[in-house]
Amino acid sequence: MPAAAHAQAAAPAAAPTYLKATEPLGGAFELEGYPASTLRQIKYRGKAYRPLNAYEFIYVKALGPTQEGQPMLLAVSNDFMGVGTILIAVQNDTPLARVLSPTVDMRDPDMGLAQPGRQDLLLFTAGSRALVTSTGQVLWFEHALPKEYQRSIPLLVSVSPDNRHGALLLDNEIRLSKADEGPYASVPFTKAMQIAAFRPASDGSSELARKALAEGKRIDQRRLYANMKAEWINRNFRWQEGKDGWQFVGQGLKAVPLPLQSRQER
Amino acid sequence: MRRTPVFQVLRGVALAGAAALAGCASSPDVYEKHVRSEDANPADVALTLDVTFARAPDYEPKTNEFGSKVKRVEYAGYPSLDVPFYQKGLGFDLGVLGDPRALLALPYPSPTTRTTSAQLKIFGERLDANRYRFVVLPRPGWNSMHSFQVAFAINGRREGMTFAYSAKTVCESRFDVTTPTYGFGMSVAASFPGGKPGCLKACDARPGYPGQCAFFSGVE
Repeated sequence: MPAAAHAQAAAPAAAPTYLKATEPLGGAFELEGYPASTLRQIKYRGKAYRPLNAYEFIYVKALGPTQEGQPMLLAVSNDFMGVGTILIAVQNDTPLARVLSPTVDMRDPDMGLAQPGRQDLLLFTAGSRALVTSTGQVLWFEHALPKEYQRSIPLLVSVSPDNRHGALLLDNEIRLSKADEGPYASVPFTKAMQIAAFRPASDGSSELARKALAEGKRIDQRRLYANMKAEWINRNFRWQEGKDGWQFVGQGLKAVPLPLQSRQER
Repeated sequence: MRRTPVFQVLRGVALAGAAALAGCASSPDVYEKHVRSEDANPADVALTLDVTFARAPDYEPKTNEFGSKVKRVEYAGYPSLDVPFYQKGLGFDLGVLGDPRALLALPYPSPTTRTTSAQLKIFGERLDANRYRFVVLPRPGWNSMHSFQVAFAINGRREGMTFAYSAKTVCESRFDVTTPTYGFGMSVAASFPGGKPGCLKACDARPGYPGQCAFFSGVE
């Protein structure tokens, strides 16, 4: 106790490290936390904000674009909070969050994969979501047809230049899906073709993971592999707007339209 | 076979006693009760919520009945409001006098407050494929958390959007929101009984936890 008092007297200018400090984040947002800790809480207009019930964050940063004059925030929660990467934007003076990635991982959080050839698009492959960084728009693409049981886990691998269409990699095909409407076409990129095409990605991701582990870092190898698959697809396929909408062409494959979903007007 | 040590018997008796006492404190009816908006008594309504979904939510209404003597009806398959309630009651914790490893430790019940929660699931009245009208009702004997969640599904994708409300403050209670998980759009409008002004705010609690508002938990 006397030592602490002495230290304080010696350096009155330095803020004590045992008290919570707040730092501005832009607009009415602030970050609060102990200086020695990496965990931060988000405050909006001086009140605690707990998006999706998460209150501690390992990463919070203003994305750039603003909404209602308030910055949009990209945040990654503490893993105990069970919420992965989210985007926070203010609507009607209420901060509201959108899920970007459901990955809960503090050592290697999912910060998205910049889509090759795009300046402003981050792909969050696992949750079929993408973020347009210039506007803060969050995209989500449905991969299953109504009432369809789809056993493969989708990966969002590419988003069209108009940000309205997405390509989702399934086990035996690539589904093309329109935002708000669902899948409309299927590219027959079969399992056998995928195994051959993704061999380098598989080897490369395990090599990188081994290297990272040797350096004492833990990375999510599965996500790395998924992201390398998405990179390969973006290099070998491209979006083309035709008379029947946006198509994803490459590898000499032709998209097959899926049976039109009769929107059951019940 | 070893003989059961005396202190274990004592502990068993004490635990049974505490459990019996805790049972006396209150026996809250914690079942999630299901109600339909169209069956509600207009005099009970605390808030009427009109929701226009940007995409038509799944509508496959089902009615299930449970119980033999006391019938309990549950509905499913279309949009609903999950309204949380809480009750503070008396419960008992088990205290121990002395060293619990010693033979003659004395367990005793000590009173504490316990918070119990319950939910009311209020199914909406379907006006057309995209428009639903919900009412928020009180639950007799329970305290309101002034919050609820609109729970619905589109194509089997379940989604929840949480709101907080207050009849004591005034704000714009008609606005558009985007849901947190899949980004479904909806526009909501709240009206309060007797045409009185009130306040409805969106708050993104985790879907399934409507009483835990992210920001406007203290609207009141």
